[in-house]
Amino acid sequence: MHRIIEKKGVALMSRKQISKTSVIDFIINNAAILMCVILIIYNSVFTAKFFQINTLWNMLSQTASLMFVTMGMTIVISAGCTDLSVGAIMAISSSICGELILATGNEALAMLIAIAACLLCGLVNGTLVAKCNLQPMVAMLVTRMVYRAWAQIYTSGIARTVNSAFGRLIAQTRLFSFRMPVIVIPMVFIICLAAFIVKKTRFGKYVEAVGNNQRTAYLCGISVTGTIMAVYLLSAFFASMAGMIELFRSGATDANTIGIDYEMSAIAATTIGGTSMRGGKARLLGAAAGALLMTLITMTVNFTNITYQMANVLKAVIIIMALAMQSANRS
Amino acid sequence: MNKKEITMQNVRNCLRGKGTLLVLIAMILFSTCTFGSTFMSWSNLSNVLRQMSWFGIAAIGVNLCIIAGGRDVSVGYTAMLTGMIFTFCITKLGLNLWIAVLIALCVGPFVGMINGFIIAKLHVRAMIATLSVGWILSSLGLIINNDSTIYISKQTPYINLFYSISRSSLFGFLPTPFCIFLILVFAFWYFTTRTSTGRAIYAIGGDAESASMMGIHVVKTQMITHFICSVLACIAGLFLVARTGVGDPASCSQWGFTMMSTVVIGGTRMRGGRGDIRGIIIGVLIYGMIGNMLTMAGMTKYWQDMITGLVLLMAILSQNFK
Amino acid sequence: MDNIQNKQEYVLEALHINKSFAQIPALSDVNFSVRPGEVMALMGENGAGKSTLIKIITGLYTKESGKILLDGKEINPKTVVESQSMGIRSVYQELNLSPFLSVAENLFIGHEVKDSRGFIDWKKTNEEAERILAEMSIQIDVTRPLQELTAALQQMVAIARAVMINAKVLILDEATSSLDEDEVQVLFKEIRRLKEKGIGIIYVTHRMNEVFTISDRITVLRNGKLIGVYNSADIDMNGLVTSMIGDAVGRAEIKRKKVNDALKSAPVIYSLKNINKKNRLYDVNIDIKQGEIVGLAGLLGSGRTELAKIIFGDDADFTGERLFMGKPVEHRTPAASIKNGIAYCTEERRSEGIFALMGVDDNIIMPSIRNYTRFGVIDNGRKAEVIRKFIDRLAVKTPSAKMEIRKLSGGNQQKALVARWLCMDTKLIIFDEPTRGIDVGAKGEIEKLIQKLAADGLSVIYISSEFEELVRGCDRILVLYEGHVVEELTGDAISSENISSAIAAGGKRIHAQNHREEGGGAHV
Repeated sequence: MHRIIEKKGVALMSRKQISKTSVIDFIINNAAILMCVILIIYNSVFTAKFFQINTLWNMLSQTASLMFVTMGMTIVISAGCTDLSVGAIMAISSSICGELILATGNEALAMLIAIAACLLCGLVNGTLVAKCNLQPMVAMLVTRMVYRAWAQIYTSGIARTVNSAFGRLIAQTRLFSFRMPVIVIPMVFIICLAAFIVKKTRFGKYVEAVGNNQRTAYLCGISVTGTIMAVYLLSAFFASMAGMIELFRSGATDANTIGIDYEMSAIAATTIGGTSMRGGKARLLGAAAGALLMTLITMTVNFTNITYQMANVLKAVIIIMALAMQSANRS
Repeated sequence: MNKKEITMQNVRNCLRGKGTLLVLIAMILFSTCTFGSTFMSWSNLSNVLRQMSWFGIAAIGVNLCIIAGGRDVSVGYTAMLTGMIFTFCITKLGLNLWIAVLIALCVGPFVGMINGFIIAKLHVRAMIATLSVGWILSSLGLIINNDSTIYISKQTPYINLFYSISRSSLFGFLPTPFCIFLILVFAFWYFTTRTSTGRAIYAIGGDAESASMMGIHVVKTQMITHFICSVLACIAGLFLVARTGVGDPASCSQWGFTMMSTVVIGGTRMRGGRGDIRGIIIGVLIYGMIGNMLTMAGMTKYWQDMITGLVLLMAILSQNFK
Repeated sequence: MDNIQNKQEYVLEALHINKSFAQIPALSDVNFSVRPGEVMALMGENGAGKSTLIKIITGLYTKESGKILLDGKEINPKTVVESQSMGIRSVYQELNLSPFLSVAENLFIGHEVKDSRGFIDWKKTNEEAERILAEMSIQIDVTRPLQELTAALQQMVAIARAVMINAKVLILDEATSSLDEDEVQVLFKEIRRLKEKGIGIIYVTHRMNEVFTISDRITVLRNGKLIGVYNSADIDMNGLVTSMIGDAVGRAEIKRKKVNDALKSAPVIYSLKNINKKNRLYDVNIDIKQGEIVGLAGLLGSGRTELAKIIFGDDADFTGERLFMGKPVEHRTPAASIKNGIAYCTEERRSEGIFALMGVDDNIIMPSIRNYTRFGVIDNGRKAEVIRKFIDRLAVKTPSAKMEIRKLSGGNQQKALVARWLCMDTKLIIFDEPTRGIDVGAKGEIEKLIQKLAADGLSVIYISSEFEELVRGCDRILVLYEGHVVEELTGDAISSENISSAIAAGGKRIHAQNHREEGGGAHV
């Protein structure tokens, strides 16, 4: 008898809740895409010359570095952690890579060493969180400061122009008749790679498991420490790529400005993309849309002649809104 | 058996309290030996005290937040924005100095209410919430004067009177802002130990859920804490401007993390519920000493950032491993 | 039903209460009343609606219809704080005090003792606190932080806080579950004192024997409905149990399983030798044979779960030797145990069992995911096949294998968790309270499943606080008392009565031993 009531109740519940919960769920899960659409409509109405293929290519190449960081951030957040040091890691990678290209002229070597240095940073991050049990946010606040100081010390805080063939290929070359920038290729590749890691690999499952519940993961024989370390290494690796892309795009090292605010933009992109700040589920496509949204916001602000900083204000508001919606949805 | 444990604990507590004090004394001795009279002169020491006082005033608020189990990393930007708005009102709008002070003083309550609302009502975690609010504030600070600093002209009426709150000394040797810092520390120590609201801050920091079961208004207490915190940051910002005479959008950007660490050095439990407001004095002095030593050793700003960061990291780690 | 209609006024009355969650009724037309100076026990199985009723009375939930009368006046508390100020006070199993604040402060926070200027007067506060605790014959330093006290003392402080101002009704919700026998007696003394003061006490517990000792009347709920109100003197254990569980549906199977003769020749698969853990376990020796179901019986805190965690490698802090298939086991991590084929179904399903946001499939596959990957890439075809097989075999009711596990019922979650361990090469499986928080039908299924596993050659360690469950299903039962194995029951000796008496006898023996060893020293 009781069971029948229960079943009936479930059926009733699902019908009634479709109207309410699923609409909210839909909005939360697709907030990034929805907002992108709104902004595109807004721009196409109010901005002259918005509807051109070039606008799209501009947007994509501006998003490239943020996309790398966002993919890393989404994986970190889905493991229940946060990485605030990505911006500083970008500064390190661009500084080391740029300075080494100037010093040796060997691009491959320079990039490898830059990546190695960033992986070291990721290792430190992972150790602080997984082994020393610091709260991720607190640990990252300090490493952010230290890493940027490292980059600044390394370059003595001086910006220098870097010219390299590979850099020109990545940043300036356009392909095909519709003039697609080369940079779009690694960007699409990184989204696929991140999606592959999360959906198809054992490591991806471990990440989500750890993000869900560290204790359960431990009892299932998963190495929680190892997973968190790996997650931070991955994030640092993605950030190092992003740093080099910024270096090639701007054609200069600048330890003071490269990567500033990237961590916050990435968090905004991830949370608006539907990944819960508490971890447990990575929504990579949402995050990718979120990253595009960040660029769209910046572009819109530029088009409408508002100060560039206003874009940051909007992004911060987006973080707060997204998190408020997440916590409202949970309770 | 119990008795023994208690005395052992007392000894440990005693040492823990004195540990940071010992570190401070060691640092002073070390500096005296290394730098001699450049360090051990009253002009240098009073300068350290003076420069630490606005930092300390804001740190009191952060201490309250952390005791309440929260975080506030937006304090630096609140202070910066206060300075920017103050200088903007005087130089760009040509307002009377005292009106400018009043307008600038509104920043704190405003930010405090926003923080409190987001954290207590919207249930966003304090860390990410204040990080985002801080980002907004820093952007606003940059927007105000197109990314550049604002200088106050020397001809502004009453400006020297205003400057004197940060630049003068009591009895000719004690920096006024440091005295104000001490007064505020003891006022807030009294507040936390002797008023119901103060005790409520400790209770929600220890365990928010049981605190609410005991009839404590968690939301209200959280909002009060963030309010106080931002107001103190705002006051600190005014003291800073009175010292520098400049509204600089890049100032105070490291306050968020460094203050959290000084609070932890001062003996407050990172996860809330335990701590003594008076501890902040030692925490702030140690932090000031590090900066002073590094400057005297002739380090560049970048090296200072790096070493300060590492030292503060050690401080936090040492509490974590206890 | 015993219809008591005295003209005596009730201190608290709840009339025709209705409440449902997502259209599923949790309480339907429930009446409940407490007289002043009376202990009213509220009994029922998990999910009967006890805690829902309590939460409605304290204002944590809002009722859909019905009336709550306090001293004859209707009240409508919206928050716990509001109900507290009306005089409805509660003490819960999990502590609701602040751990870092001093004892005195915990008593007085929210209504501090103030001096003439409006500041807290610490001297007076401490004196008052000492006086209040002295009334309960507790002498402690009230300036110590609460967390330094024993669980029982903390519980007493919680009660002191609850009744110190204008309490009319005191709700004790599973307040004794973390206390030992002596501590419960202290608590009862206090309850009797409060009765004399005219406070109405609502006593929620799952411990049967306590109910008969302390309560005056008993209200029984089942499936959200009022079953009856009885005078404690008029009803016996059997009557009460029947009333709680209902007709003989669940109880028809209280038959001992047949003695399994194959076990005599079965090899020993796992043994513990002289396991000691400080203050928790003393000289525990266990041999587990292949295909055997060994029950661990004992009260909370008897060391059942601790033992399970040591076997599973979750607890590395112990001395002694563990042998698996005759070879000593050195590793002390769950990961290594899993590799060896030892599995642990936790009692805390929510907090350490399920990955709430992941699908049923991932929940099942997680510990054994290595078997379905090549170079770290998951072979989805093979994975889906295995998952389908086990979902069918254990009859996990789920719309799809990808369904988030938190959306399933407790019983189906539990089955999925069992599937987690079956889909790999498991040789020994530990069930810690496998039927907790599961409805009656699913309970039976889980019990049958465990029998089937043993028949297939798996060794099972079965921990449960429901002794009848153990009696039904185990080949052998070890009775634990405060970390000692006090009795081993086999064959026909297995019965609820024997377990209870073994615990009682063992308890006496161990207390006597302790007294002798400490020269009659205080046992706290």
